[in-house]
Amino acid sequence: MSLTRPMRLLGVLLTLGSMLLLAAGCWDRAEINELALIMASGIDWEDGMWVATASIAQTTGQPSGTGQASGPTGPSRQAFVVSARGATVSEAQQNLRLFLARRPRWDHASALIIGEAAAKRGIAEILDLWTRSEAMRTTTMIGLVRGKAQEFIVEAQLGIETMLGVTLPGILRLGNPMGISAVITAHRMIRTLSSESHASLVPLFGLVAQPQSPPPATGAPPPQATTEGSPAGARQRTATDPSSLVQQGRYLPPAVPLAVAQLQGTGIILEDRLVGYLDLYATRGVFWVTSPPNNAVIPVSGPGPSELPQLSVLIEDVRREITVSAEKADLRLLVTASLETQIPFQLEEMGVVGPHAVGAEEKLVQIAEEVAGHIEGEIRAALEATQPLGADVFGFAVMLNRQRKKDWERIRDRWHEIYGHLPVSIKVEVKLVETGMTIGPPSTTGLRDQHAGGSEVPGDTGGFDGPGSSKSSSNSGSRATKGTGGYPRWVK
Amino acid sequence: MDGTGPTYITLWQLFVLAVGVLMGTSTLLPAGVPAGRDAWLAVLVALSVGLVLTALWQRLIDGVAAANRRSPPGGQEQAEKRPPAGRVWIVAFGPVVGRIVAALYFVHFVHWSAAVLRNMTTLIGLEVLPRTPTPVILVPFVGLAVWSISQGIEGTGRLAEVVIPIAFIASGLILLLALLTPGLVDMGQLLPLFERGYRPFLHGVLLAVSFPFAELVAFIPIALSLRDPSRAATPMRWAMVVTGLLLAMQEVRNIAVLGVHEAVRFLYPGLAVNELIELGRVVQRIEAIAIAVWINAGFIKLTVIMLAATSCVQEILDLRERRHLPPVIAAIGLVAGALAAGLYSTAGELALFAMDVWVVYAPLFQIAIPAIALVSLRMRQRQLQPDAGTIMAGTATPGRSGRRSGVSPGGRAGRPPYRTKR
Repeated sequence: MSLTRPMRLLGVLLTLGSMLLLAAGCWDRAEINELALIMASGIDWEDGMWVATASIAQTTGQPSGTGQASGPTGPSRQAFVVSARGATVSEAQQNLRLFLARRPRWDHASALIIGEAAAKRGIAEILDLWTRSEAMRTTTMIGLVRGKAQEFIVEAQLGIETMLGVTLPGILRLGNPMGISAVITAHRMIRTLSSESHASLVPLFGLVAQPQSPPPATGAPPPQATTEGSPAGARQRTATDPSSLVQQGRYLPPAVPLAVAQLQGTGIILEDRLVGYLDLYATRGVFWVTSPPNNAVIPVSGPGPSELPQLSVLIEDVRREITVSAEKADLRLLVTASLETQIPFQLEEMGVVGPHAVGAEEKLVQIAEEVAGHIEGEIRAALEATQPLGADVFGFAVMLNRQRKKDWERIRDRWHEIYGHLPVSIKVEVKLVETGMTIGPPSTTGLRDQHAGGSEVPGDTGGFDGPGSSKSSSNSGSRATKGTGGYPRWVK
Repeated sequence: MDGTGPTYITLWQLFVLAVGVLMGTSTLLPAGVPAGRDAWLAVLVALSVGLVLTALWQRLIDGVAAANRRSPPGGQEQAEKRPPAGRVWIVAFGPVVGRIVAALYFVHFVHWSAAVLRNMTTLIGLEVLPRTPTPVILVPFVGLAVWSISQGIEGTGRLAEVVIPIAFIASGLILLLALLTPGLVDMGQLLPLFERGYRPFLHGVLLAVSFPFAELVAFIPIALSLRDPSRAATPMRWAMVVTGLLLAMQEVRNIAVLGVHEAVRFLYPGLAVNELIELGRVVQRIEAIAIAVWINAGFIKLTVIMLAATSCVQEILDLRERRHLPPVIAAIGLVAGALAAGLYSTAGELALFAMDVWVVYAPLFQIAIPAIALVSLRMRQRQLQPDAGTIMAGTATPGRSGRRSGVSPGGRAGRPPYRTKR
């Protein structure tokens, strides 16, 4: 088609004109100063209503404690927290706009905290919303709290990070190599819950006073795993805890302890409901099977007479061989670990390293057996906590379907019941491959000997009488640095 | 282009156009979904079926091209002026049945265009411009397609030469990124094989055959725009192989990342996977790239299907000059746009239609009618051989006997059987 010159000119002008009009903006324009960026959110169930809480980034003005006015001397917090109710989760979220002059954006909400009541009621609606709506992201981390998510978000004071949405995934990310946590995103939770086992773990957070009491130790004797909300691992703040005053905008002396978020274990979700909790000890018991740690420290007492943990064993690699049938499950873990000393003298005194490491191999085997026993204990603790609930958080059903499809077809409808009584044999083989980057403990006592005017005779045990020392030890080279130029005596 | 001369495409252009049609929406909507965990395997089996189908289409193209060469519509003097595409079904079935078949194909192509448009606008509306009214997305999309098609197949081919290689490479890279993201892929999700038996697997194969491999049926009229239509099958086969492998790998990725239940539940599982890609907290939120790929490839697919619809109108109305086509194309765009907006109440309904109805309805046009057309063409050739040794097919207004039979006894030297429409 050939156009005349005026027509062409008209066409060009129309094109340019329409481009100018269209380039000016669109329906979906999002000016940054018109947005409320939600960094973390919470969902609660209260009085038959859903409660949505949003922690919104403070992008303008002086950071304040909460949505309510905070005292000028209160702690700096770059979040504005609002809550709203609704008959559905979506409506509750929409009602947040009653408090906002800006359009809420959920793209950056990297943490979703679910309150205990909401989790017990069922999280299917929440997960459905998070996958159905384009505004939500399935990479959002999901966590649980005992009590209300709203209180957790409001009261949690942040340390290094300024946003709860950064702190919580960070805690989980660091805990992952330790085998005590995993970043459970909405996507991952749905994938696990829709698998054959229909059970998943969710990280459990709590608030503790700062400075805090020691967290539940993974290496300590296993605490009682609970199946309902219980004080174990729950908020450890006292009634006089002043951190709530911060939220009310009252004056808070800087020295008063604050509430910080702490990872306290996991919640057990079966189908879509919270049915129980695991402490950190049992949580790692599950992760040994599902997502083994590669940087976990296991404290063991070692070959010495002490019952208390004296040595640390660093788990570096775990290979799993898992066979599941309708009658039983066989777990075999091949663990590669290295030995570390928590107390510098112990390794040598135990004869594991050093010039007098007579029978070190047997002692290493002894340590490895103790580590294996510890790992088995953690797995047993997890089994004991989950089997009565019928919550197959190990994913044995998934393995059974993959390994023995016909067996699975036969029992799939009774799986929860079968899992409750499934005999599980556990075999852990630990191989200690390294003993750290040194061949002996640091020569701290040599100087002490020098100052104390100790013996200069090589081989003299020296005069260190402090706690943890053993005078009877004759092979303590670290205490015999005199005469070797300050080096351990086996160094020529 | 002066609007009257013939437009031709090269084999490479046919290849990229075919890749565009295969990638267009099938990378967005997964193929072989009913097969569950075995969707990737269903895609590979469907690929082999698709390769066989190209032989059927090639024979039909050869027969039609030979007939057109022997008796070009409008006579030899008109041959240089007419658009080379079109005139398939009248050649194969005769003027009456051929027009009915062309009308059926027209309805099929328009409906298919509407489905593609609906998918594209839904994607943009859900993910990119959620607050923008659908007509504001739809109208520019249709307008651009109409303008592109009015330039002929050559323009679309050249556009595809630029767009499709980039889209294909980007799709491959996105696939690779998903596989490289730590902790994202669980290949165990692909097990066990044939979990739900063979019936769902066969359903998946049939769906994957009809969507997308057999969709290359749209190229039957377009392949006549090649200078040598007898080589049309080669680029189509290569397109099927490379895209089929990409689709199979995408199915593997979708299932390994999302799990089979989620891969089936999501309307656009590829998009859901792309949201999860995160490499070192640096490479993330790459959905924009994927959406750009889908929109570009989808646009190529839309233009090819609308071109095929236009060729049907050409056959029915015996339109031979390109300057007659823009109003037709605009009308097709209008109808397709209206259908896209109103035919399906939700995108989920369209997805269910694709899974349950398309799998039965589309093979009629993709396999059954082309096979019947081939048989019919052979029979007509055989009938004519004793008399004239050739057929004069595609007669729009031949003599009375020709109108009945669709065949002119005049042979190569006979009177041009077509009345020139101006």
